[in-house]
Amino acid sequence: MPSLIIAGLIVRRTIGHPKGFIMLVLLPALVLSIIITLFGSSQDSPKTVAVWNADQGPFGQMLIEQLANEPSIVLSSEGERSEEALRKAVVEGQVDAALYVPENYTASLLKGSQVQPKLYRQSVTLWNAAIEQRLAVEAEQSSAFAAMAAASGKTVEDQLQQAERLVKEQAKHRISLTEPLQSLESKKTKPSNVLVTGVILLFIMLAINQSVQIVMEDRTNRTMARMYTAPVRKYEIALGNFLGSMVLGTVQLLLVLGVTRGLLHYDYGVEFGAHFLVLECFLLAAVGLSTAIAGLVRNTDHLPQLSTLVVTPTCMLGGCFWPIGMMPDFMQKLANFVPQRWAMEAIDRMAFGSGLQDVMLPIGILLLFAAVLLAFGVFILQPNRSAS
Amino acid sequence: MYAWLTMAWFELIRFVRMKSVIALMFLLPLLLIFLLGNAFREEMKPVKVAVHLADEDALGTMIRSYLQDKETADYMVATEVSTEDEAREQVRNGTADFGVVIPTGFSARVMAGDEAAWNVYPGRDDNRNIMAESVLQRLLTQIEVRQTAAAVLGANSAGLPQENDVPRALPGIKTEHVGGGKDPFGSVTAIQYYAGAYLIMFLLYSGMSGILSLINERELGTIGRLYGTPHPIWLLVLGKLTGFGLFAVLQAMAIIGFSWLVYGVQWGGSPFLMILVCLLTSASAVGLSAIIASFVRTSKATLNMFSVLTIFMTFLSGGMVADLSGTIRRIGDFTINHWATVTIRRIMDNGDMDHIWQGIGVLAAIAAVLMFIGAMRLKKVVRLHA
Repeated sequence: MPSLIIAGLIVRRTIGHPKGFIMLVLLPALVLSIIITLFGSSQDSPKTVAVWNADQGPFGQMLIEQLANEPSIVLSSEGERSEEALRKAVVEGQVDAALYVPENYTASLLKGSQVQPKLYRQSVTLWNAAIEQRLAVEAEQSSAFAAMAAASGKTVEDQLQQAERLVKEQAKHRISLTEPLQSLESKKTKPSNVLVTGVILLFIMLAINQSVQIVMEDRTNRTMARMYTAPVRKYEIALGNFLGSMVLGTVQLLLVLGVTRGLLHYDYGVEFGAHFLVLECFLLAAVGLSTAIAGLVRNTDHLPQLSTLVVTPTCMLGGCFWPIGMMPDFMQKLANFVPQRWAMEAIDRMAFGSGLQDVMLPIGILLLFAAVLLAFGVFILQPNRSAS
Repeated sequence: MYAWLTMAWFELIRFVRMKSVIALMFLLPLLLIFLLGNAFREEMKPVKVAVHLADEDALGTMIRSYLQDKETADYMVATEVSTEDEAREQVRNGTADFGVVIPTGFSARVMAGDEAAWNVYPGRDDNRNIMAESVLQRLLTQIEVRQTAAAVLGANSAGLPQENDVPRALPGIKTEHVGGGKDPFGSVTAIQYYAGAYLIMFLLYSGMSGILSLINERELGTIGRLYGTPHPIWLLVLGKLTGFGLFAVLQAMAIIGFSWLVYGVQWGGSPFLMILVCLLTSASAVGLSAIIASFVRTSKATLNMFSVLTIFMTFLSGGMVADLSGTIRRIGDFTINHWATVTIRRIMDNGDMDHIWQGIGVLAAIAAVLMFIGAMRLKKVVRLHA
């Protein structure tokens, strides 16, 4: 029982007063809400592409039709009647990209010279890289058709007719890549998932650092020595401190999940139970990490700085802010040494359709982190060891 | 003059001797620059694709040879699996990045001119998915061209050039990046981009420390001692702030020097302009934190508020996610970080001098306004009886 009282006290001292509650519980919920509103939906809105087809022939038409067929794209062909105007529209952000098909594109292709349509974009993004690829393939196809048409017809008119026939015929021979239904069902991962889950992990770590800080203060202020005068055992104090951190983290977690899932209806793609379980395992590892860090400093004043020094970089390395797959190999290997990576991995895999039984490995690694770090922390943080 | 310099010197010594300062002001920025700069380094790895090729007819052979082609291997490593379920399972558990199934009778359908489709199982990583799809798309196009040619040109098509024979000196389309460089970082590399962003962010922090030190004097009651010296208080305040100005220069030189020597970050050929940008940033931070401190009074509240503001400004100016778009980007234009980092990137680039001075001008204007308001409000921060 004394452990519960100590735990309760830790919770009261961290989130029992308005400021603590705002910083550790409301702020995380607010930040996540903002992230979800900003990034959660923006990926799905259709992109506008300004087009100007100066070509009269079939090949220019084919390129434009290819773009029009993309479900994620809205074509706009008003106003922009010159290369310069297209460019300006992209620079000023009126459109997301622009395509210019040069004059006599078809005619030049038939003559065998290589004229290139031009794609304007501000910078490389996922969707416009895909469009670029698609158009490049299409343009290569055009030049192949052009070569055939040129070889088969004597006069320019003949060649043009032949080219038109090829383009028309080609439309009948389209081979498509389709996603079967069962794959769509399991594919619930969204780009924003990484950031949302990552920020949850970040806030868990920050909250735990707070509670561990309080334990450290007790020791520095000799309050812990006072506790010994009460009829409690050493392990009861340690257990109380540990439980306090766990409860604090759980309270934060429940509220954050409640707000994002309940109020904002954000779809993590993971069942609540499994999601919560993984996050609790991470919480355990975070408590371990925090105590281990606390064990390293002798002066409480330095603890917040050291925690920042550990938390921010490990979150980056662990893939809390961007997908881990995009990092170079050596960093991915380094990432294996931070617990965030394994929590992200477990949640990411489950969102992609794996069951809880498939993510036992990452969960096990999280628990291992917790066990090792806690053992280390507990050894260093023994209440009867005095702080210097 | 002497009092001013003494004040500056001791403030500098006192600050540098704190261990946590070394950790936070030197170590953390360098660590962040290293992590971010390397995380976004472009590295193209071929995408792993699990292929179930159920079609053993004419086209099946062609597909197989395409998948095993040397040119394809640069972009895609195809592994054949025996069932569709296996392909799906490999994608699900991450063994493969992407799965594709070429159904039985595919050749027959294509030959007959029927509609044909491949089943694809995209994986978790959108970048890899796009890569895999574009490699496959290229193959499909080759097949389409062959079919079309056969249908239109009939038997004559035998002697005609095929898609493969077309000399491909140029890529099919030309792409122009009007936003500056090829990638979200503009004309600089990822590590240059983040080195600039985090240099500025931590200069803002160290600028705030000057004001925090003033509040601390008040909170500890030692401000009375300062009033007790035979020097005007503004001279001592100026001295303290000068100390932190010196620290900012030291910090900037350390971050620039270390990242240049160890990470190989190119900082451009104008070190003095770079230091000027750093000093202006630092001055803005002093002004801004003085304004905040005059309202919220305590050092803890100033620290919290200024930190949150700094993090927000860093985020809005693209210091965390480089390719922000739309409204967020436009809001970012109103931050100190934006003007400082943009100018730093122009200096790194050895860009147009007019452009660089324009950036410095805006930054100087921001610093002047913030310093002016800060100076007006400073009375409240260093008042003897708060």
